[in-house]
Amino acid sequence: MSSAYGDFSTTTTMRWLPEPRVVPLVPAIEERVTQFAGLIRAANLQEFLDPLMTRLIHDCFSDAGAHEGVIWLMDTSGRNLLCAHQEGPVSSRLLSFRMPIDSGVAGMVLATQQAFCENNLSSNPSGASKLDEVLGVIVCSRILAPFFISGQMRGLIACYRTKASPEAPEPPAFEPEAMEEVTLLTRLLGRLLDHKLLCAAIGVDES
Amino acid sequence: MSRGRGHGIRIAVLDSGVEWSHPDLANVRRADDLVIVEEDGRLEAVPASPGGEDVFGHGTAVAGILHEIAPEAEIGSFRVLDLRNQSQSEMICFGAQLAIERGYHVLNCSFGARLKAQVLMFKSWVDRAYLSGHHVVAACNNEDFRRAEWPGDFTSVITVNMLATPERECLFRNQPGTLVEFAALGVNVNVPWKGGIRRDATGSSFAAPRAAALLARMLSIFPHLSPLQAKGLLHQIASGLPPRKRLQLPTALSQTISG
Repeated sequence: MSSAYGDFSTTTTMRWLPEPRVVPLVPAIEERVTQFAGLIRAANLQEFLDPLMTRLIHDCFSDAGAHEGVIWLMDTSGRNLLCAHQEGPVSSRLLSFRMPIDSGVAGMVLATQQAFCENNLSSNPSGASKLDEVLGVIVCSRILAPFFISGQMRGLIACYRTKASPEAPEPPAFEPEAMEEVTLLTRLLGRLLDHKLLCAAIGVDES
Repeated sequence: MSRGRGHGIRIAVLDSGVEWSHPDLANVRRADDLVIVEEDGRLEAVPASPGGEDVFGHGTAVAGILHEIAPEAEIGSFRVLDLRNQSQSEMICFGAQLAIERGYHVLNCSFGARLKAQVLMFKSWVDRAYLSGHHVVAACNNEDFRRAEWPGDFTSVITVNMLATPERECLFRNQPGTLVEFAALGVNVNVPWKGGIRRDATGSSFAAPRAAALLARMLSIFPHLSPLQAKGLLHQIASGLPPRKRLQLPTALSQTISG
């Protein structure tokens, strides 16, 4: 079995030299891209997502076997995460929720910049109580991966498996492949957004 | 390595702090417990509160794994991961320099930084560690060769990815062609966490301390190994990767989310 997105360990050696007329402009272009990237917020992420990106997000959440999938972006203070995109039956309830990042697992992923998966949350006394309360379901497993736009860590992409009540059967745990799926999504979506911003910065049609 | 238990070896946990009062850490040989803080634009190390404080729970998990594999190693905590601070990278570098100055044999870094601007900042203390015989072990789950992570992508660092394996005390060799040269158990690991609890966690963060502890065991028998010699030896004793499932995308089997 192999990924439909190919083997990441191999690539074609880049043989092209940069256009000499553009080289002096590279710092200005990078500055422009960074400036544009800074304008992406939870409230307006949807405006930057084209159908290809939306399809990618949906496919990756589905293939990870998520009940709920959320893209969290940091607010302007850098102290909270806000729901910028969500899929699943109950995660729309997160739209007005601010998740603080000074402690807890979300903050840990942002601090370590390493993806994290946790299963059997409902057997853990602290679990994900705040999320449970907002979502109105019990979060049983979660995957969180840091999300970068234009080289800056801007938030997290998260998948959750839930159950409706304590008596309901436990959903299966997330496998490592699901975690790979979410980290793949962070990489691909980040690159697609970077490409879009670059095209906008230099004024070329991204198609 | 089977004879070594880490005796005489000091491991620095550069992380979110350690909750020493956790029942699973009761028998740990504790060294420093320091918090890196910023005061008037200046970094300094201050003692942590009695019993230790872990901001996230991550450092407690790392210390628990180190203690499980190398029970006689001394563990010191340098709290450098704290999002309440604006300059985390500077704190990491300061904490690492301090750990080197205080003579820690192994620095466990279960984190990665991806900003290109931070490369030289990290290179400074990683090189210093290498030249003065201190071993740096880092977590990295980077399958994207275009995106480097520091300190994991420095060649002198022992960089470890996570793996699903029943082998708790085994190190694996990654495929050639990546700077993430090793892998260890990091999938569904039951680890101590802040608040006196345990969690089932998955991440390369939990693979790196396994390698760091195995290294500490090796160093407790051969204390004068240089970072280069130790890495070479780890390569020799590491096993080949077990077969693993690969991603297959997209599939029509797991359409759980309603469109």
